[in-house]
Amino acid sequence: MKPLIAFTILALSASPLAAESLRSATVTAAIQDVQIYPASGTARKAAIGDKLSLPSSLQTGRKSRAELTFTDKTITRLGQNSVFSFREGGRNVELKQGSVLMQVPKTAGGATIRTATVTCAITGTTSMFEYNPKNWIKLITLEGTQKLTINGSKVSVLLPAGKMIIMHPDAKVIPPPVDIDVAKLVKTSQLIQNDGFAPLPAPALALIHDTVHKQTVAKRQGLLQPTNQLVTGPGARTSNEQASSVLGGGTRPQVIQQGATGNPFTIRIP
Amino acid sequence: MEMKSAIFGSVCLLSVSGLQADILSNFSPYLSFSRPDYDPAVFKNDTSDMGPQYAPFSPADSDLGVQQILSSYDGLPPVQFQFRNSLSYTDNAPDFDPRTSDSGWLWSGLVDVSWMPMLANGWYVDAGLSQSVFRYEGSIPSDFENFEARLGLVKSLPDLDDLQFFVRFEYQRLTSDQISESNYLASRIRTGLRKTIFLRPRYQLSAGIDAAFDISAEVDRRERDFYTADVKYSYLLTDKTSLSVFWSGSYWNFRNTAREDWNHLFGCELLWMPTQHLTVFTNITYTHHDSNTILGFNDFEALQAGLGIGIHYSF
Repeated sequence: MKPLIAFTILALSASPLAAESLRSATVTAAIQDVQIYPASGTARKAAIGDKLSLPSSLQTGRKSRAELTFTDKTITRLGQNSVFSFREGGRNVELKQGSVLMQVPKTAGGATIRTATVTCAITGTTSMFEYNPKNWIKLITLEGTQKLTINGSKVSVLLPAGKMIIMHPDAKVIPPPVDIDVAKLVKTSQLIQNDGFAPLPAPALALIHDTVHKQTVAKRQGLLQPTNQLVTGPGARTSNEQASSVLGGGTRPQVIQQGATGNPFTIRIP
Repeated sequence: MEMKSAIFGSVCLLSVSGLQADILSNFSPYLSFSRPDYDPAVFKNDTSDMGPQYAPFSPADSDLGVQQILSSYDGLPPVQFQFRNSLSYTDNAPDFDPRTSDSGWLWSGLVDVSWMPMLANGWYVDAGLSQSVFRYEGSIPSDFENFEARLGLVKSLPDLDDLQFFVRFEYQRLTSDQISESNYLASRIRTGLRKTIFLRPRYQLSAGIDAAFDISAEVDRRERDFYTADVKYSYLLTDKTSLSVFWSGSYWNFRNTAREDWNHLFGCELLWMPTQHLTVFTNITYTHHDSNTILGFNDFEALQAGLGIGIHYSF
């Protein structure tokens, strides 16, 4: 009974936030060339503290990045050459191209990232999303779970923490997710590590750390292995040494037998 | 005159005894593709059942970060086969007389079979066999074959940023045109560490160290220990093309003689993977070898450039 009451209280306390639309946001980081496109008026250069209200668009240039913080503490970071807008009200945002990191607090009502071909539903999750109309769609869950759906289709795929989906923008089927090394991703991501951004909220960082920890345990047990890491033992042999063995002569110039699909003694972690 | 004869005699003696049948060393463990290939087809329509293996390049890679795919261990892995052919030109081919410097073409071929099942708790078995063949232009005495077998263990250490440790037993047999008659036999223990020091979507820096200790060799004086360090920098020009530069340095200590050698290898390789199973590569290498043997008998330099293809399959 007590858990039920507690759940009800929590649900009620969360409901005002959940109902809140992503109608307005504040620019909390603007690195280099960031432009705001209000529905009326001309484009202007974004500055920290600028308020954006529905409908608005934000565009980043080359080597430029931006962060928006919504009133419910949902954080949206845009990568370079990105076009992002929130026009429809509700909790929908649109990514026309580029990359975005979204961190939706557990107490918020989730969010939906729409693109021309797919839609991603986020609930209390930290995720990264890239949409390039002529290239790839990449979706990564750092913590929590999100759902990817092809527009016009009822089929969707859930993407738990530590997983990534890579697909062509025009794909009719969502490929199965793959495991991705979250520790390396976080360490090298400009959407997380760029000096222009403040650290992500502590609860989100703690959950990302949990994802990294679970992967580390799986790697320690050998259940997950980096596929692109080749352990090379003795590599290509120097055949002059081999030749001298055969010829009975001294040490002679080396003939390198190497290249191609790997050295004869390349060890590949399966 | 007598003095010259004595020196020449010493050199001949060294070439016949202490220096001949020198066992092999390993110099260029990084001269290969160190980033996974991927087949774009698997990311396209209606091919989802194939499953993507590696993240391709995309414009937002610097924003997203390094997307290193982790593979899950789902039972016994397939056996890996590699076939390789290359044609090279060297300005200093090996022959009977170490003092000459003969340039010429050489063809080399390789067949390699390997298998790496998981043993327990992240330890993998590393088992493999390989046979190489070397054929030189117009100098039949230089032709030879090299057979090698290995059995060992590999462990990736995630707590040390995926540092990888290996130890294994190696067996080696060299022949010269007649596979039934070996010119050299050796067995040894080799152990080492490998690490990707710096990893970005487009480039990476890798390094490794290893040490090998002979258990036995066909002639006692050929027994030695050797220690190698190497570094490789790779830049991914495209998803399927990489350019690598590398260095490797090795120190050899012969147990039963006073001989000590240093070897340096510098190289550059351009590699293209048109398909998941095919590789085309070209490389150029420079070798500098310095030995403490009398009159610099085993010192040499060599430049080699080549073009080759490789085929890789797993069953």
